[in-house]
Parts: sequence; structure tokens; C-alpha cells
Amino acid sequence: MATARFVGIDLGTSTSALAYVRPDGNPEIVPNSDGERLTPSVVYFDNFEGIKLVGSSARDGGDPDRTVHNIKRYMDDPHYVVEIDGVKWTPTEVSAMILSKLKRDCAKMIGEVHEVVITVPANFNELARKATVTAGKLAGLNVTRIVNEPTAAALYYAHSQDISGRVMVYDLGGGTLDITILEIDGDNIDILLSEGARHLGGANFDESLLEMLAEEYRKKNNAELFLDERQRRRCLALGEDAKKMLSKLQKITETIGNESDGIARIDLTRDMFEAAISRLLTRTVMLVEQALESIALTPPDIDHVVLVGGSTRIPKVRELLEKHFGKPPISCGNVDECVALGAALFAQRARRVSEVCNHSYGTLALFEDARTGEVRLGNSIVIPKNTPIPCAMSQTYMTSEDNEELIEVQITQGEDPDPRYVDIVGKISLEVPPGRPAGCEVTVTYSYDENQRVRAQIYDAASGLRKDVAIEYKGEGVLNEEDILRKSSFLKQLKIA
Amino acid sequence: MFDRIRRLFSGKSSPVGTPPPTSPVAPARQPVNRSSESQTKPSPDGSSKPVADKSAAAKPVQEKAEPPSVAELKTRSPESVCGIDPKTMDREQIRKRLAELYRRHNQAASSLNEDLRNEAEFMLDAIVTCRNKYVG
Repeated sequence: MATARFVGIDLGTSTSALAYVRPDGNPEIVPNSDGERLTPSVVYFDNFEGIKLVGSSARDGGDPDRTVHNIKRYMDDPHYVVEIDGVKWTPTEVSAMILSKLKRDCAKMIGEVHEVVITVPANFNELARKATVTAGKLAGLNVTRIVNEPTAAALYYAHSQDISGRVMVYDLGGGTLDITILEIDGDNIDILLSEGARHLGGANFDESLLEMLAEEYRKKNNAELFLDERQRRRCLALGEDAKKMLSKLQKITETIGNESDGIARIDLTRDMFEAAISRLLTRTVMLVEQALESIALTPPDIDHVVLVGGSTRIPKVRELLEKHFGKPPISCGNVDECVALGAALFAQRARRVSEVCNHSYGTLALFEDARTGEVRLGNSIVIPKNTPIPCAMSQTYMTSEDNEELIEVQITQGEDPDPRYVDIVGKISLEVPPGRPAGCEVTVTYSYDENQRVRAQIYDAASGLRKDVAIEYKGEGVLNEEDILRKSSFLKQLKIA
Repeated sequence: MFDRIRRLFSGKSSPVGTPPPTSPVAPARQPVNRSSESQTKPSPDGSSKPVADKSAAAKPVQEKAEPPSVAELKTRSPESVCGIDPKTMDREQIRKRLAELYRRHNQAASSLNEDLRNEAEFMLDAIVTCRNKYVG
């Protein structure tokens, strides 16, 4: 069978999609074996035949205790696992099942898929990026690059619209909001900045609408709308449908209820929905302001605001952006598919895209106040967020105590100067000769590759000793190399449909 | 945590540019880098005293009080939690203050530390309340 080249996968919170670049140079979505262009990112663990259902069939029926939704939200949680029938599954493994389904289904249409680019939210941390690459590996894919979703969308937008200038991509998907500001010049794209907000997307809007429905049901029927997870899931799906309708209509009537307490007809208006999600929308506006302020831009400096992600269909989202920028935002064609389409283009044109690192990396250090002599702990940034990548940067420090024999560098992830608000993601220890005074120079160098992976090196000038490490994460939800090998062969034997 | 990380380095040079900005709940003083270059210059806070070339360990280490827990925060008003006084701060000051807090807690919402994530979600809620009330 032929091998497909230039394949991109949007591994989304709600839905996933695979696209490839056709011989004519245009990207195209490959439908799954159910005939759908978007595959719901839902996995159902069958208890009779041991089959793992992925997609619509998993989403639309079955036991909710055996159904896994929105697993992408937990890719950055080292301790999260799903337990079904006494077996623990990491987010990486569940994601691998979704990727396996895409790979197998699409191979029937376009040939074997081996090398792919997978998209991730711009605010995914290193752990989540690594977990995504591992999920691809478990699914039998060679993930050549990870690319940020807004970057992929911008690439597709530039390809399809033939525009240039400074663009802000506003990507409000099922689970996250990403803001990316970039310069487009012909086929070349320079990312200037990426900011993101976790757990701010369509799923949150659905939950808000569900709360509103539950409250209205309580008023009408003096009872709870749902009493178990199965009922809640059903109501959530109805709420999602209502959300979509209210993006097109001003008023709808939803018939909703349960077997024990009966049904209720609830009138919903767009105003009610917008009021229910207004707090979430305020957070989106604050992220836009943060993005602009981070690179000292104002709204008039942005030539185009491009909408990506299903939640940008909500009229209030467009209205807020139009008010903020003084011009209407532009839709990126099909907002659900442009990330996958852009990922396929990225597989072909990665060299034309200049990206930035999405997190600051540094170390904990003591800072001395020259005036008072006070010393305080701080997060000393070595690589600041939004530095063009790949890159390597160094910072030199002095040891703080006499007779130090072990120098330890705590690797921090995060831009906050306060150590409490950054993550310690690794440590390098270097043994040095005894009997040294305080004040010995130690250079810390971090390198950041195009897949947003970090390596750290410590160099002790006096002894000439050096040591370098890649960051490794620990937790029940993190797979080590041994696990990956073992689980990879196990996953191949699973029946995924 | 502070005991665990105290045995680190004193900052010497800052090739990456300006020192990090003062955060709303961090100590008010800016860090002073101990490079030979900075020793010849006044410190950012206006002091002209050069930095002494001594071990940082010999200096008093500024310990910060443990921040309040989410349970404690819940007993306070959103204004108090965000450090906003509408009587003394104008709209722009409040906006800037909330923007600083938003940057911190939006980042912390993606932390590997679950407690910090929970705190961040609580804080984001308080920030939005104040933003809608005072900034619009």
C-alpha cells in the first residue's frame, strides 16, 4: 500500500481530525470509516468483547462509567489515570487509541500513515507535549513535529486567503483558548507570541448552559434534572445542541427531563445564554489584553483577527472581539477543520514557520537587594517565554555557601518571579571538589528545540565539570521508556473500532 | 519549600534582559543582579550603594509568610482577595492590578501542582468578579 506524505492530526478535546496534502498542494480532511470528517475524541471501553470504541459510537451510547470524554484536558496532569475494570489507563494511552482509530481509518483512504505532525494547544506545557508525542508513538506513528494549534490554523489561513500582515489568531476550541500573534509575509510565518488559558472553551460553556437548564428545571418541576452521570451526560448533550441553536436563533424551547420527575419545556434566549457564559467571556478578553500588552501592541496594530475553533461561532464572541479591535474578526473558513488542514501544510512547510517557546524556563536563585542587603528567593528566568526557537540561552550564577560539594539546579517552568507560582520540573545535581569558597561561578544553559522540548546543562567553571539532562516527569499518569515499549505492543493487540 | 531550595545560587547576571517585574504579592523590592556591570551602577530602586561581593548566605534571607489557603480566601471578599480598594484606586489602577493577577493565576491554572491549580481557579473567579464590577 502507498504511504501518505504530509499528514497532520488535530488531536482535539472534543473532536479530532486527520488531513493530508493532496498532490495539487492543497490540504484535505480524510473522513473516518464512519464517514465523518471529525471524529469525536471519546473512547468507550466495552466489557463484553474487549473492544475500544472511538468516535461517535462511543459518544452516543453506552455506560458513562466506561466512556472517557475530554481526555486531552488531563494530558498535563502527571497523576491523572482512568480506571476501568481495575485497569488504569493514562491520558497518553487513551489518546493513543484515538490516534490509532484515525490512523487505521485513514490508511484505507490515503495509504499507510507513518509520519505525522500533531497539533497541541499553545499553552500545553512540556509534560503534555511529551505525552502527545508518546501517544503517537503508542499508536505506531512517528511524530515528526508538534505544532501549536493556532500556528497550524494561521498557516491554513495564509494558504487559503493569500494575505499578509500582523494577525491575531483567536482559537476558542472545545477545551482551551489560545491567542497567537504572528506576522505573515507570503509563505513565511513568524510567530511573535502565544498565550493560552486552560479549561476555557466550549466544554465550559456547555457546563454553564447545563447549570442554567438544571436551575430552570428545578423551578418548574421542583426536582433535580439529573441524578446520575448517565442522565447528566444526556442533558449535557442537549445543552450543547441548545448552545449551537442559540448561536443562530434568539430564542428556543428545550424539552428536557428525566423518567422519575417528568419533562419540562424550558424557554432559552440568547441573552440568557450570554449571561450564563459572561464570566468565561471576560476571561477570554483578559487573555487578549494580556497578549497585546506582552509585546507592547495595541488593537490598531493588528491587521486581521482570525477566528478558529467551534466556540467562535457564538455571536457574543465575535461581538466582543469586534468591539475590542474596532473591526470584525474573520472566520478561518471551516473553524473546526482548519487546525488539521494547517497541520498537514505544516508537515510540508515547517521550515517556513518560525515559532517561539511557550513557557519561560529558569532556576530558583537568591536575589540580593543592593540597598538593604536583603536576600530573597526568586525565579531567575534563563529562557523567557516567546523567545524564537530553537534556542539555547545561558545564565551565570555564584554559589552562595562555603564548602558546597553538591550544586543543585532546580529547573523551573513559568514566568512568575515568585517561586510559589512556577513549577519545578526537574533538577540537575553536580558534585564538585570540596573546600571551595562561596562565589564560584556556575553557568546554567537551557536549550529548547522545535518540538518545545527542553534540555538543561550545568557547568562549573572552577572544576570544568558539566552535566546535562532532559526533563523527566514522574507520576502515575506518566509513562517511562519501559512502559512505552510494553504498552506499544499491547496497544497494537487491542481491538479499536 | 524554602528550606529545600535555599541552597542555590545568588543571581549574578541577567543576559535575558530586564529583571522580572514586581508581582502583586511578592516583596516590593526588585532583585539586584550581582554582576560586575551592575556593581558600577545604581540599583534599580535608586540606591547608589554597590553590591558587596559577599556570599548571599551571609545576608538575611527575606522569608515570606505562607499565603492563605483557598478555604481562607473563600471567607474574604473578591476585592480583598485581589487587593483592590475602590476608594483609593481609579479604574485604570484596578485594571492593571487585575491584569497582573490574571497573568499570574492564568499561568498557575496549568500548574503541575493540583493545590495551586485549585487556588488559581478560585482567584480567576475573584478577578473576573472585580473586573466586571469595576472595569466593565
